[in-house]
Amino acid sequence: MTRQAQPNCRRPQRPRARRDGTTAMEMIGALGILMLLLSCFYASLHGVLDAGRTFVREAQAIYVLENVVERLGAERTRDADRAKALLEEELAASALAKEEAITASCEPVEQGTRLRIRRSEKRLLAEVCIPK
Amino acid sequence: MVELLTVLAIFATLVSAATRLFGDAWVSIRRATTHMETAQTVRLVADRWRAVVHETQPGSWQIADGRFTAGAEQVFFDDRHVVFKNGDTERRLHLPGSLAGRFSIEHKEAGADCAVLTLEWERRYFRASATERVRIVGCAGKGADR
Repeated sequence: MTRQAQPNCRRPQRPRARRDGTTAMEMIGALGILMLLLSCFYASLHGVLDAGRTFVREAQAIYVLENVVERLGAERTRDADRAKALLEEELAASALAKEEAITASCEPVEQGTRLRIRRSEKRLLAEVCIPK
Repeated sequence: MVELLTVLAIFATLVSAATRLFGDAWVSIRRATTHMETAQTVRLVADRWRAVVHETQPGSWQIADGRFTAGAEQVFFDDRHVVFKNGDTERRLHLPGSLAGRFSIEHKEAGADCAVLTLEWERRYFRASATERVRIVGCAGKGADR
């Protein structure tokens, strides 16, 4: 015989709090989960702002390299040593100079000279290649 | 009673956190919009500035009262605008936020003379702020090359 067919089958009594609404523990659990979600959202907001800061650094690095290319063009030279000197001069004059872990490099490559501005080893901010 | 007080305390904490989060998100969105506008304006000003410098000779460059003058060309900042003036023609670009600029001329012993426009603006990160700066170098005698 199924349970529905039994006329005298009673459902077990639930605690009063359960019958009337939510228990305090349930409420605390729900609020805890909500707080966790809010803190995750807050952390992601910080992440977005950090990304914005990186974009500013990248833009500044691009302007530094543009200035180097402009000055090299005016001097009508593509000499790697001169490019390196100008890169260091422009980087020192830019707002990136006060940032930590910003490095500039000037490397000879097959096509010419490659100028790079990095933030740490892994993070490349901007790069330009000056042809021979 | 203890349960009720605990729940109320947690609820109050949550409400204050949510209010702060909403405020920060709102301010961040507004700042991001201003930042986008600033980045775009800096690009436009840089291109126009270099075009002016390329078309002029270093001998004609002068800076007086915050104005850069090169023959008929004039560049100056005027009430939240940067103005590029050539005779009767005047181009005005609105400067968003706290964007401002100044001019300088650099005479290098080794190398070409350069006219430099330095743009500065304040950028805020939550409660902290920093002054961002961009140098835009323009060198003479490049007009014919381009």
